[in-house]
Amino acid sequence: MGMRDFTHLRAIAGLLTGLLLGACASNIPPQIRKAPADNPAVDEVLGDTTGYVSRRVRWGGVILETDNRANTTWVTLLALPLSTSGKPNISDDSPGRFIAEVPVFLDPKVYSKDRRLTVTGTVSGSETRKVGEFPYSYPVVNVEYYYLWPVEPQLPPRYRDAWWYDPWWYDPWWYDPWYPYRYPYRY
Amino acid sequence: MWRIHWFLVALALLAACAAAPTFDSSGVDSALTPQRVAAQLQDARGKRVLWGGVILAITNLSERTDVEVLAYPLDADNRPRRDDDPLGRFIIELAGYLEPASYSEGRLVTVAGTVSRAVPGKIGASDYAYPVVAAQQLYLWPRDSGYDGTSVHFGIGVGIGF
Repeated sequence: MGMRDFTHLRAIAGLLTGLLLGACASNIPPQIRKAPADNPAVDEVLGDTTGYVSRRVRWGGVILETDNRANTTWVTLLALPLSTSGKPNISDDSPGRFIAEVPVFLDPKVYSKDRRLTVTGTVSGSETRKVGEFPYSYPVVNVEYYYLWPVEPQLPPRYRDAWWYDPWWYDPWWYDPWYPYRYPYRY
Repeated sequence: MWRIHWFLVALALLAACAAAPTFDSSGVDSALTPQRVAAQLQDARGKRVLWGGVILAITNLSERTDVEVLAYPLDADNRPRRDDDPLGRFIIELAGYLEPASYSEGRLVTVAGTVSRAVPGKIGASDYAYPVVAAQQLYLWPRDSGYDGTSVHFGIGVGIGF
């Protein structure tokens, strides 16, 4: 009888674990979450794109421009360093720019400027475009999997830190002795 | 034994402090502001300056990049103080490519370099002589105005182990 009780408990524990894990599940493709074994960096490829043609890459960054072609969408990105799960970290040390050629239609209102996108695919070549007057040679990636990262609410800097505390903080409305009537002063 | 532990604690605390970059300020005349250089360029040409401010515009040319900056006085870390009165405009000249998506309008920069020349420009209908600084060291300050020199924080966490 005691044994049976334990198996019951174990079943419940298993179910709970399953539920907990289920809550963590995401729709991020595993191809985005895991980088290919040999993943050349954007700045490596920038100098010599032809030498890297057909190499597999996982790159990501913020969208600079989304250009809808007849059957594909060309997304220009400012590459950023990625976390181990493939998410671009907002920072100032960008390894460079690249173009993601996605074989489907992507709505430019959704895939809009400054949104974060990570792609995997193979380097297909390069395209030279002018940035101002500078001829920039963008590596082009033939995209197989892509993931648009959700927008994170941008809080004012002071609230971003959970431990932030302002010792001089004072709100005159914190305690209003005249509530619900108006203050007896004109201002 | 305990001494080592305290040493580690002190090290961790120091590491938590934000580090400001060091600039080569040798031979810099801090009284030389962009406004003064624009007024009397002949005396200023070739002088070393350490200036900073807010980026107004960036122009990528085929072999160099020009960054137009509205100068502000610098604080002890050489970070521009936007709350003070501006000191005039200037142009940072840098060989090669500078990413305009990073060095974008509104960002703060500090530059160490030499005054090379002045270029005539227009602001609206007014003529404006922009002093040009050939950059030797350029620093882009991180985003966010939530800057305080020391940011050391303590937290208490509760964990459950299985």
